[in-house]
Amino acid sequence: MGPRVCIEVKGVGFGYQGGQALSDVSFSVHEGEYLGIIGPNGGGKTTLLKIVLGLLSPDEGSVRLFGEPSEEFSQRYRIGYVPQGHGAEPFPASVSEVVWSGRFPRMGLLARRSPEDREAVGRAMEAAGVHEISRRLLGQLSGGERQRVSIARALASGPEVLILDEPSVGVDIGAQEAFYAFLGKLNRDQGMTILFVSHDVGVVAREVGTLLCLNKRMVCHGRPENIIKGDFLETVYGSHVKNVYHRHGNLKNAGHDAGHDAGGCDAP
Amino acid sequence: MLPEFLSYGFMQRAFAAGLMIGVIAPLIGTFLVVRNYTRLADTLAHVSLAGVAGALMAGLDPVAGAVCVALLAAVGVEALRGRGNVVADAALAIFLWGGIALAVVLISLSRGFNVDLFSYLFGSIATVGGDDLIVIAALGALVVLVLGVFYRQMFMVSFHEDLALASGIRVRLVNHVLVALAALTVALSLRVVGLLLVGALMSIPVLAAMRFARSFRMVIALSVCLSLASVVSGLVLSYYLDLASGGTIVLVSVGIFIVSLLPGRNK
Repeated sequence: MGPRVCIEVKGVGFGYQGGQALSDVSFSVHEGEYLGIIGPNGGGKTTLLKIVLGLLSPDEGSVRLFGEPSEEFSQRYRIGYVPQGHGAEPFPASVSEVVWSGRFPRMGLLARRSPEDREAVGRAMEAAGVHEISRRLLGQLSGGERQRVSIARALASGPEVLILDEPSVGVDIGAQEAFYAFLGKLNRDQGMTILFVSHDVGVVAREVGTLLCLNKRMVCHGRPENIIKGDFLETVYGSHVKNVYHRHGNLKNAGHDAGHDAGGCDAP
Repeated sequence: MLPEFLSYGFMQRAFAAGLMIGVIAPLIGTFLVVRNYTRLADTLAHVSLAGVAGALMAGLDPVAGAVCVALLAAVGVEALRGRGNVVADAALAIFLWGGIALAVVLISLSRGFNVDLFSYLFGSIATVGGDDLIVIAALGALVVLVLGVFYRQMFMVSFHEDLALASGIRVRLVNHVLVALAALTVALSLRVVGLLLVGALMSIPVLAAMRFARSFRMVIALSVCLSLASVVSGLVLSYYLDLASGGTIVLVSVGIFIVSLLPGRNK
């Protein structure tokens, strides 16, 4: 038997008033998998995340979380979510309060803080490197620090899956590198299942084990080295794309102005 | 030995009412301020005027009328907002204008209670009776209790609605509870500062507290302290200088806020 399926998306379709955002998307995320979702702006990446997280209900198809239909799944704390922006609004709370709030769903909303809870929150703060700033106000932190707080908050509930939406937006390059190293370690050493959305093709291709390209429908799904070749960018993003190279020589980004029909790409 | 101003029964009742409202107004106000939703307090206050007018016409208790109408409006605002086809600001504005319009019509239908109504517009803490105190104490305790039970959910929902939803928090329920608590607080505060200034008592101490606080809990604790300081000094000043109590209380809190802006503070 292979690894357990954590997330199963089957034939999902979703439309906003302006038109169809997603059609017929199907994939599974297995335990320990590191999946990156890429695609042009308006390609449905965030919509798909919201459907997986239960923030939106799909018009067609279904989502199962740990084998249960999403709408009946009650143990949401098993999935840690790091939203886009990391609370850019200056919310007047300390780092410690925000990280603890990630623990509330698991510990119950009236229960006292048990030694186990304290340990879990301590571990999460240490893993994300926010122990030393735990007494600072959120508004006093840099983008990178806020991102780490966001991760610590997600880890505090002891999740089995981590879902991140554009985690590197608003974070400087140095902090980004450290952040992806941290995610990779989490995946390798602790077997954390990770799913993240990014527009940064280079980073995603370098970091993840599986790549899913989305442009209103699934364009390709498989190992990055099997997908990123030839006319891949044009296929996913449309024809108006430019290749830009990172400091590290990685392919960085594809045009934001794209959004054309993707054409075929062989799904492995 | 009581100070001179506390030797009168009406001032004792005014202080008791003021202190209770001084606690609950910033408690609920904190959650409205951090969500940029303080206009809710103003809206509910204006709608309560219709409740007061209706109750006075029917010979019922005006505070009870205000509580009922404010609660109904709170549920209405949340329903309209929750559907997503009316933006929050517009939903609030519709209720605010509707409430005033209804109050004006009720007032025009029945002449003779204009003076009473005036005291709800600007507050008239000196006329708080023993029965009012019991109502304020009972419902005020309810507000504090419910807030205590829902504190963690309210923190999560205020911090990030989508995150709370993704963690399995029943966001709609929490939002309904918050607006209902706001409605109770507003209706109970009408006698103390008047409907035109309820929103001020619920937000200004919080805004000042946010300048000093190092955590969310400290925002709450400090805003209660600043609000109590405003109520006590406002009442004492209004007694000795013969000023309108509601206006004086709010002016003191504005003064505290201005001091909080002086350089060298937190942010």
